[in-house]
Amino acid sequence: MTSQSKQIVMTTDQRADYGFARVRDAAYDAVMELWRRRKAEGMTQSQLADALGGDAGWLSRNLRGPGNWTLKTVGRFVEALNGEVELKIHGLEDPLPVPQNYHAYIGYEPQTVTDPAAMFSLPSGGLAVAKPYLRKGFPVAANLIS
Amino acid sequence: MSNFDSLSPVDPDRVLTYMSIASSIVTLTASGKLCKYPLRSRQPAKRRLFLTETAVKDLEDHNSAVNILGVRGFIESAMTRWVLGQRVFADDKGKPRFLKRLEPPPPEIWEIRVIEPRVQARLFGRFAEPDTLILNRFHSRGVLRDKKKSAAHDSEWQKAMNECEATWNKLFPGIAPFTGPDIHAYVTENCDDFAI
Repeated sequence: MTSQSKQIVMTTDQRADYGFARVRDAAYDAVMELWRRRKAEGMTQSQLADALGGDAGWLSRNLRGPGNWTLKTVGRFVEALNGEVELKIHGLEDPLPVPQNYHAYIGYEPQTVTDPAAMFSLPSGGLAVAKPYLRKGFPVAANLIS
Repeated sequence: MSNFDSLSPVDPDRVLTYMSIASSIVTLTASGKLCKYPLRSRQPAKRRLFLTETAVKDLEDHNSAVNILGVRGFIESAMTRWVLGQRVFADDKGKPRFLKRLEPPPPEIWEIRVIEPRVQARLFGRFAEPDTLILNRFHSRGVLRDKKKSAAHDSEWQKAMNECEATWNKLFPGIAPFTGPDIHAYVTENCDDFAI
């Protein structure tokens, strides 16, 4: 292993599991966010159980984590919490609505500079302007978003 | 003759120099001892995850438990969740569900819990800094077996925890893992409040 960050390829089945787990987690996070808001507004777990049809055991199990969640689970929670679903799927290559110029790995990666002399340019005004480090072979956008 | 002249010359091998753990990670990453987890997202990383060589081999090897038991996709999803800074959650009783510090000794061994209806997995690691996990390797929950039923000193859990500590000591000799007073010291954002 020599690369700093290599994409280890998953099989089709593994990608299906990955996709399923990501969707399920996103649904869980979204439901829990609305549930936290409803709790802050005064809703109790007992009231939520009533809104779901009165099964407190089912509610408790499903609030613990999304392990057994189905689309129907999501739908039941959304309705019981008086919410509405908005679903959006984008391409991995789509730009972010607000461009990010920070990621958590800054300062933790070996920096590869294609041309060290090009790190600084001297404009006619005389002030040196630092240019961002670029990893070899990566487009500028890839360097910015990790 | 001054007092300084009588001092023996300094042995350069014994000079203590300070190297931050971030610098150590950079060096280990450059040498291939650690691997930054490659994120499958257009979103920027909010937390850091580095895999040891063993963890990478577990992912690459088609005969590893991770791949044979069919939990690879779920493990990758959990790692993505961590790096994207998504919620580290507790259950309705305030018990950790996604990330848990294991009972010492050895101290400061953490697990990311992949809890699925079928096969479960545990990802053992240590914190180098806040929001920075060094992941030692993946374990099948079935292989680790029941913590309480096995004798503490020879249980699979204990062996796995000791191995995690040994790997850390090889990677970061003389550097202790990060320690904090509560979960928010380890996970600075988007984390439920739970006891550790």
